[in-house]
Amino acid sequence: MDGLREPDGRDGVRSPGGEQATAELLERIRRGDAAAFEAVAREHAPRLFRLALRLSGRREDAEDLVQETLVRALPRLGRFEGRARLSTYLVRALVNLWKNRLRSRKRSRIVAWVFGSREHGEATPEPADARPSPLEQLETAERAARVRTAVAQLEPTRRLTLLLREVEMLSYEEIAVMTGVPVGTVRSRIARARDELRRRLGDGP
Amino acid sequence: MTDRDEQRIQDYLDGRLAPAERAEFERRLRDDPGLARRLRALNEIGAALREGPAELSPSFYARARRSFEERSGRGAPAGLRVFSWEAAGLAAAAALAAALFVPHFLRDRTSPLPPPADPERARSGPAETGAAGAPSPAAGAGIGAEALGLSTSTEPEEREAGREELRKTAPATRDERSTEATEPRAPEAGRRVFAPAPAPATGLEDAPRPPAGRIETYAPVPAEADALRDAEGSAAPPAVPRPEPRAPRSILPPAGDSVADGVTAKLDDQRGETSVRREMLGQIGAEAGGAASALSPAGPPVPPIVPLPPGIVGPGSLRTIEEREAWEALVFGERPELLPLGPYDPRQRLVLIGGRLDCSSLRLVSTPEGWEIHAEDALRAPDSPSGGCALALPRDGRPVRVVASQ
Repeated sequence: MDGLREPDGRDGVRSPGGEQATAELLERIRRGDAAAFEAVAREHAPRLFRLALRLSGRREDAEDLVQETLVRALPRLGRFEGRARLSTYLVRALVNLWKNRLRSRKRSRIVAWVFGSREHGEATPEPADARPSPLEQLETAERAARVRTAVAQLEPTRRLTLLLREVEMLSYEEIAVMTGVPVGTVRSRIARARDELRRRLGDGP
Repeated sequence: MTDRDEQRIQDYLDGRLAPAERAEFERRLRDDPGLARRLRALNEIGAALREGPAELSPSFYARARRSFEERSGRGAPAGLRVFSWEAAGLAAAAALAAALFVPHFLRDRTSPLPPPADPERARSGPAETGAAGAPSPAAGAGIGAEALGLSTSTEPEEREAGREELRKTAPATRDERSTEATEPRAPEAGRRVFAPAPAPATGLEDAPRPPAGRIETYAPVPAEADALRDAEGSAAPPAVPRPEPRAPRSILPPAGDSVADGVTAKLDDQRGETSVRREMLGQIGAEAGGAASALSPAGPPVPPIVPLPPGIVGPGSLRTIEEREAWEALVFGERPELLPLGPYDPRQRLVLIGGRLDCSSLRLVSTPEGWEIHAEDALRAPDSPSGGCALALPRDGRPVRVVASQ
C-alpha cells in the first residue's frame, strides 16, 4: 500500500482498488456489519486518537471521542458519495464532536470525580512516558509531556488550529474549511499558538 | 526578531514559502543563530505533538464495536432487520387496506369479466391479466385477498365465507397496527435508541415497552415493582399505573416518587440522550446490552442507590468495584447498611461516589459518551452525611462521570 499513500503518509485509500475495498466496507457498515466497522476503525482510530488526545488532554476523553466519532460518522459516510476522503471526513467529524463537547462543558462542568483510583477492573491508564526508558528517551518524553501540558492550556480554537496543522499536517486551506474561518485567521491562530507555546516552554521571548 | 521574521519562520515551517524565498530564508538561518534557535524550538514543539503516546487501550475496539452494534440494533444484520420491519409494516398496511375495501368489493362487485375457468389459476394472481394485458381488477383483488389467505370466489355463499374470514382477520390487523406503533423500529444511523434487549424470555413480555426513539411512560409490572420494593425495603406499593401507549412526550416524575409510582424515561430527541431515573437501572442494563437483566425473575434484584457511610471513598472520588472479593468485602464486611446492594453480580459493577450527597437526588443519564451521574440536585444537600452513594451499573465498559451544573 506504500505506493498508494500520499507523500505525508495519510490516507491509504486513494487507489481504485483501495477505494473500492473501502467503499465495500462502508456499505457493509451502513448495513450494520460490525466486522466491517472494526476493520475501518482499526485503520483510522490510532490517528484519530493522537489528535483527540492532544485536543482533550485525557486518555479516557480521547478514547470516548474517537469511539463516538467512528460510531456516528462511519454509517453516515454514504452521504458524501466518495467525494470526501475518509480520513479527512473522520477528522472533521471528530473536530465537530470535540467542539460540541466543549460547548456543552461550558454549560456544565465535570466535577472532581474522575476515575482516580479504580478498585479493580480496568487498569487505570498510565501515561506512556512514565514507562522506564533510557535517559535520552526519558528526556524526550519529559519534553513531550511539557509540550502537551502547554498545549492543553492554549485557548481551544488556537489549540485546535495548531493541532490540525502539526498533528494532522493539514494545509491552511484545509484547516480553514474544517474550522470555518478564513485562511488569514488560521495563519494568525497558528502563529499565536506557537508563540504562546514557545513562551510557556521557556524558549525565550 | 521582527514580526516579518516570525512570519517567515511560520511560513517556512508550514511549507508556504516560494522556492526563492525558501532559499533566502535558509541562507539567513545559517547566519543568524537566534533565528535558527527559534526555528528549532518550534520544530521541537511540532515533533513533540506528533510523537508521544497514541496507543489505544486494548479494550477500545471491543467497546467501539459494541457501541456500533447497539446503534445498529444489537448486532442483528441491519438489512434483515429493516426488511422485517418494513415487511411487517407493509403487511399491516395491506391487511388494513384489504379489510377496508375488500368487503365492499365482495359485496357490490359485479364483475365485467367472466369468472376464471380454473379457480386455482385465479389464485395465481400475478400471471392473470385483462384483455389489454393490464392486470384486471379481479386479478388485483385476487392478489390482495390471496395475500390475506382469503378465497377469491364470487359465489354468494363463498362471498359470505370471505366476509366471515375478513371479520376474523380484522382484529388481527388492528393488533398488527398496535404492534407496529409500540414495538421499537430499526434505529436511524447515529441515533441512540432505548430498547430493552429482545432476547431472553423474562416472563414479563406483556410489560409495555417504550418505543425506540421516542421514550414515553414506562411502568414496572407488579413482579418487577415487588423486586424493587423488596430491594429498597419500602412499604406496600400503590397501584401501578398502566402507561398511555402513545403519549407524545414523557414527564419525569418529581424526585422522591417511590419506585412503584412508575418509572419514566425520556429520550431527548435533539441530543439523542436517554435520560432515565435511577429506578430504571435494571432496564438500563438491558438497554446497554449487558447481560444483566434485573427484569428477569431469575436475575438479581436491582441494587438501589445506597448511601455510603464515611470512610469508604473520599469526598470527590469515584471508584468502581467489579471483582467478587472486593464487592463482597464491601457489602458483607460489617457494613449492614450496604446489604441492599446485593450479592456479587459479574454482569454489574458497583460505582461509589464520595461526597456530601443526597443519594435520592442523583440522576443517571446514558449519553453517547457514556454514563453520567448528575449530582446537581444531590449536591444541594449540605446536611447529608459525608459518605457518598453507591449504585450498580452494567459492566459495559462505558465511562462514568459525575456532573454538576455550575
